[in-house]
Amino acid sequence: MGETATSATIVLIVEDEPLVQAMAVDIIEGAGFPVLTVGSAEQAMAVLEREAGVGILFSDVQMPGMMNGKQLAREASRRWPHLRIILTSGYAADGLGDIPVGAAFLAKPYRAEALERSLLLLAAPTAERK
Amino acid sequence: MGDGARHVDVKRSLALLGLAGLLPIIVLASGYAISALHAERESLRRRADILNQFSAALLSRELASQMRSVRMVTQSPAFDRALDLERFELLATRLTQDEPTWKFLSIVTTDGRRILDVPQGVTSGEGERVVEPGSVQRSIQLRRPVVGDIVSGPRGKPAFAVRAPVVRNDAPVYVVSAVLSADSLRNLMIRDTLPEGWRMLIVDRAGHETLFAGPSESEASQIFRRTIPDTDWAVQVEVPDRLFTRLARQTQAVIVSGAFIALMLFMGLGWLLFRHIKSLRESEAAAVHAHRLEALGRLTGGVAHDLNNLLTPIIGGLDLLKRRVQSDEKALRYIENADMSAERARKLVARLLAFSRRQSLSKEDIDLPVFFEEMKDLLAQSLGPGCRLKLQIQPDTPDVHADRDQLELAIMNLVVNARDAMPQGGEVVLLARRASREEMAPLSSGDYTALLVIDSGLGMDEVTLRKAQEPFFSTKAPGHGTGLGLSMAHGFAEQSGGVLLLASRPGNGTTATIVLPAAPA
Repeated sequence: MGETATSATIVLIVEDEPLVQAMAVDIIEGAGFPVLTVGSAEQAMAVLEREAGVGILFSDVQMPGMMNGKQLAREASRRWPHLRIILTSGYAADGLGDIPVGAAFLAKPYRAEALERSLLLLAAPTAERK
Repeated sequence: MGDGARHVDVKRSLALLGLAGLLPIIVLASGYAISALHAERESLRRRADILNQFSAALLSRELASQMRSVRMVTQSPAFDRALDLERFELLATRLTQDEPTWKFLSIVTTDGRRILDVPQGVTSGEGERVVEPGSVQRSIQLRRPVVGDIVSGPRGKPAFAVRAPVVRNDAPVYVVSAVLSADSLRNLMIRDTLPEGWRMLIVDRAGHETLFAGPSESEASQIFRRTIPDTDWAVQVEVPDRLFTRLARQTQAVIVSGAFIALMLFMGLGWLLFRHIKSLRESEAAAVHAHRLEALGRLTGGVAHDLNNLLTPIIGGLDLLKRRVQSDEKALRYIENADMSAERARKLVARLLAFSRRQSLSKEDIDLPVFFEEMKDLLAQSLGPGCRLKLQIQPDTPDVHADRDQLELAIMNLVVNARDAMPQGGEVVLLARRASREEMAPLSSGDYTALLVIDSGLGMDEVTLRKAQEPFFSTKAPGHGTGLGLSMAHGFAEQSGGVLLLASRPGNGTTATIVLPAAPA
């Protein structure tokens, strides 16, 4: 796998729960995307500053630290408008409102297929960041 | 329950408060009424006394003038030497014509025998003893005019004599008597203004009572008596006792009715206060209940969130595992079982979240007839053969604005509860109608539709009813339900901007009402 145009699109996984994070890494890598992982929104911002190749941000909403996933999504989409974003949460209500336009929401627990479909959908057009 | 005991407490304290307020009023009112009664009685007495005094004074003057007149007759020269009857008769005739109150004049010997009556023929004749000789003796003894007792006169009419001794050479020789009708005194007495029931009479020396005014029958009375100076008479005023007791009775009635009115007032006010306190307590209890549900909601929300996180690697892992063991049928079956179980856990958590109001809702306008039609088979199926289902939409029922799937789930939960409340079977009614004013009371203004699930089953007592909306509460045996049905419906209704209402009585069935915002017309 990973031989398509999406191969260059790095997915940044923001998840404080190690088991969930490991699972997400397996699914996303399985779908052919290179993966970076962090455990908080602040760390995610640092990685986004550094790595221009990150095309998709896959973030949990409820996380420790100053920023939650929604704030991270807003901030990141403001600074890098071409960044694709998927938010996920154990609170289904987190899918309501406050989500940047164009961002997807995936309620936990998600099926592997659902995550893969979302990724491929977002990565299909030119997913390169400026 | 503590509620009953608390109500008794409230009632008791209100009763005490009422008595505390009532007692001083009764005491004050009684004191006032009693003093008023005393004043009233005193004024009654004073009135009697004044009347008495006044009548006595008038009578005294009259009798004194009569006595003076008779004394003047005794100065006549007719008595100076041998008794000159002719001359006396002439004088007496003139005098009796001039003084109509004198019925006749007599000359009487000192031992009380008549010598001459003018006009003649009024008595049986000369030489007779006078009717009332006592006063003759007294006038001789005292050497001054006296008033005799009132006796029945010649024609049966009360009369009395005024007698004066004829004194010559320092010795009484005759007695002159003027006989007056007692009626002549009547005009003196103040009769017209005598209050009802009062009697006024004259009591003579012998104690004979002659009535001058008032009813002839005497009754139990208070007696006011005043003697007339220079006579042996007294004027007596009688005021019936009942006038005094009537005052007392009136006072008593005033006190009793006053106390009764005050008591009624206090009871009325107490009742209002009791109602007020009761409603305060009820709203307090409702607030506590709401807080408890809120706290439970937060708790279950947190638990649900954690469970969802825990389920994520399980479900994702199973998905990935499935792809790797495609050839191993047995392993695939294990994975499938685990997956089904995980899926059920996910649904359970979703219901928990619905209670904690963190479920996402996608609201839409729901056409009720269509919605009912779609649900009919599903509901009938879950009711089973023992129960009948009756769907009813009242005319003029607005459509609702809510999440279709959640509404379906909520109604399903309520219908299943209804079924379980009727182990012997029965009828479940699903009724849609415009929400009543009471149902909308706790909600913000607007149009609402009520969906009622009515069973004729076992019903619930008050305690069970209150607990029924808490998550995991179930009357069913373990393994027969999650206990989330009602709490799901409750969470759904509140999150949709409505409310879930439960009404039930043991043995009388249960009605669950979901009130939801109406779709804009």
